[in-house]
Amino acid sequence: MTLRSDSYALRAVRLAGALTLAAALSACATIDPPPELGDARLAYEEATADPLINKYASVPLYEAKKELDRAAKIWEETGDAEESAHVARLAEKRVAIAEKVAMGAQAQAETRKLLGSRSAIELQTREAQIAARDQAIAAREREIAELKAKPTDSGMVLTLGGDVLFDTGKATIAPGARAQLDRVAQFLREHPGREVVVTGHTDSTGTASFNQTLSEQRAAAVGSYLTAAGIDGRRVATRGRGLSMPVASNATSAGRQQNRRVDILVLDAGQKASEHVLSR
Amino acid sequence: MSTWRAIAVFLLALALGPTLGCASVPAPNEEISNAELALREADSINAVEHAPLQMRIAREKLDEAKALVRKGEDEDMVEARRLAESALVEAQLADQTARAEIADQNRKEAQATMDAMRRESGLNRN
Repeated sequence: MTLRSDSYALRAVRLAGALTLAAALSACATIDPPPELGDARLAYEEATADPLINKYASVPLYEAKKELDRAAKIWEETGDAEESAHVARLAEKRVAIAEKVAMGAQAQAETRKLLGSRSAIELQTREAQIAARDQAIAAREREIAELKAKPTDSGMVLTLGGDVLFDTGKATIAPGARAQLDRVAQFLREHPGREVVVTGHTDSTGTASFNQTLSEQRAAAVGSYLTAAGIDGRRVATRGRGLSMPVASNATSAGRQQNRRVDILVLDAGQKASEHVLSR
Repeated sequence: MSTWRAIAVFLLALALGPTLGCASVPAPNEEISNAELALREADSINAVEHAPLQMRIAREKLDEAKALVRKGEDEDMVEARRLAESALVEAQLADQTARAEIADQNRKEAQATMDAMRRESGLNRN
């Protein structure tokens, strides 16, 4: 019993001695701070040099700094390398978190900026649309002006002198008038929505019924010319007004010449030639 | 005799003091619940899709920490706390990685929308 107690005591003392020695040795061996501490400090310093992280992730960076300081303090005050290394690893993770926060915040800021320029682009688009429409209107006006047409309530009227169009008392189109009619046909081809009303007029030479028939025939001849040039017949209405609508005196030859004519009314977009003829 | 024994016990206590001191470390319940919260938050924005490895590591560390606490050995509590703390930062990193990627996708989408609008306005100008 005594012998046994002695042996326990002896062993205990030896053990205690060994542990103390081991502790002392280990303290000597780890006199350098844990490498994790240096790694974390390096990562933190790199992050502080990054203007984006400073701008967008100052709080996570501050948290990383606090963790780093804690790791250093643990090492300095307790020499606990394992705990210090652990906290240093946490600090390094917090630096990585700060980097991600900065990336996300930067992307968000850029997105806001992009969406902010949206209204400017929309305005630009609208302005471009208005400019395009103005251009189209100007172009159409130019085209009509080239036809020497005059504006009226229902559209543009192009008056072709009867002497140019037809030989006296005949309803076949003279070769000299074709260029003008071809321009009308081209205009109609380029504007498929537009329709025309062709109206024939005469002077007062001869009977009213003769002149009525002649005016209808001449209008029809112009209509035929247009359909022959590829214009859908439904877009072309023809009628004769005979001697009923003079624009000048029939007493002089110059006046009679003015009265022998064919009007081509180019209706505004959306107006139907057939309806227009019926309503008059 | 009893003096020897007293000395022995004293020396033993002195030598094992730091180790025995650890025995009084409480279970890291707060650290574990913090890590759990961070993981749930990362899950809610589908961080698994954007940072699968970090999410996996975070979950494994958290599970390990919880297993050690369940085992209830006092000497494992320091390790359990460290695991829980590591799980927390890993989950937060996964969370922020996911947020950064989502923000970047949003930026790209906004850029594409703006490019399309600019093209459109350019076409109308011609």
